[in-house]
Amino acid sequence: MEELIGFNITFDLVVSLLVKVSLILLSILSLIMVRQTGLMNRVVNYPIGGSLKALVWGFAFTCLLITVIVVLV
Amino acid sequence: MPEIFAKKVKESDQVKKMLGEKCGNGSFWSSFVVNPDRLSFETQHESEEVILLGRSHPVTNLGWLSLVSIAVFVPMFWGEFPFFAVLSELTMTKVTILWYLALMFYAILNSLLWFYNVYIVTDERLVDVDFSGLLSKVVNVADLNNLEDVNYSQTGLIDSIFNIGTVVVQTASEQKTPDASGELSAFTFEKIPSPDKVTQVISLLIDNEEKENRR
Repeated sequence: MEELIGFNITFDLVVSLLVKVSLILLSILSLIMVRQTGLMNRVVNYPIGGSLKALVWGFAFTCLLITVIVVLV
Repeated sequence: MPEIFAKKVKESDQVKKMLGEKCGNGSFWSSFVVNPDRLSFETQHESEEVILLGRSHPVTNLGWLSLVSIAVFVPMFWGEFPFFAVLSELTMTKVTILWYLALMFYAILNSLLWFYNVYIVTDERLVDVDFSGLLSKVVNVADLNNLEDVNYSQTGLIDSIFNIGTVVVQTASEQKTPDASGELSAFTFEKIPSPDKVTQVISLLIDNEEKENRR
């Protein structure tokens, strides 16, 4: 494809970069969701609120872990 | 038995009787929970008792659930698109991971929004909690004394089949809240099951409150 300052830019590379950026954004959104779940549970305090928070934390943690792995690969 | 306690017991019994089978099994996932145990809300008074907790009918989740169900299978057909044919196997794996994480995020977010978008009827007030998206919430609270009219509407095939509708409660206040921009009132409970019965319940509580005030 295009060669820029001795660096070969391929379509594959561009898509890979976009995926990494999207994963970082998704991780940030999942952390916002964790915060928002806490606030939601403060407004309406369900007995099962703790389990829901654990679920959202689990998702955010998984998201972060996968993002780190994908970004480093 | 103290009179105030007797009144509360009587009201919740009346509500249970009105809602009949719709009372559910007391699970917080059902659309009606009468006299929920261990539930509290942000602005609750010390002596205030929650009589009814309600939310939209589960069928309102059908749209996003269908979308997720279809989207789960999309990566299986990525080979058919010429766009993906030029990508390496590693990049395809990354795209697939992103796809499933985004789907999970979408599903969890929609479940949470459905679960926490509730209306609460207490022996003193009416509370409407509206979350729309990740960063916005609107909580409307009104004393039962300030409630004026209660009405409901059912439009469309889905509403008729599942007996769901929208209950609108008019208050003495004319203040417009952000969520009421496209609605008739700040207290609009959208797509709730058995709107006729919920209307009856709120009307009953308003009547009881009026009778109590006259004494």
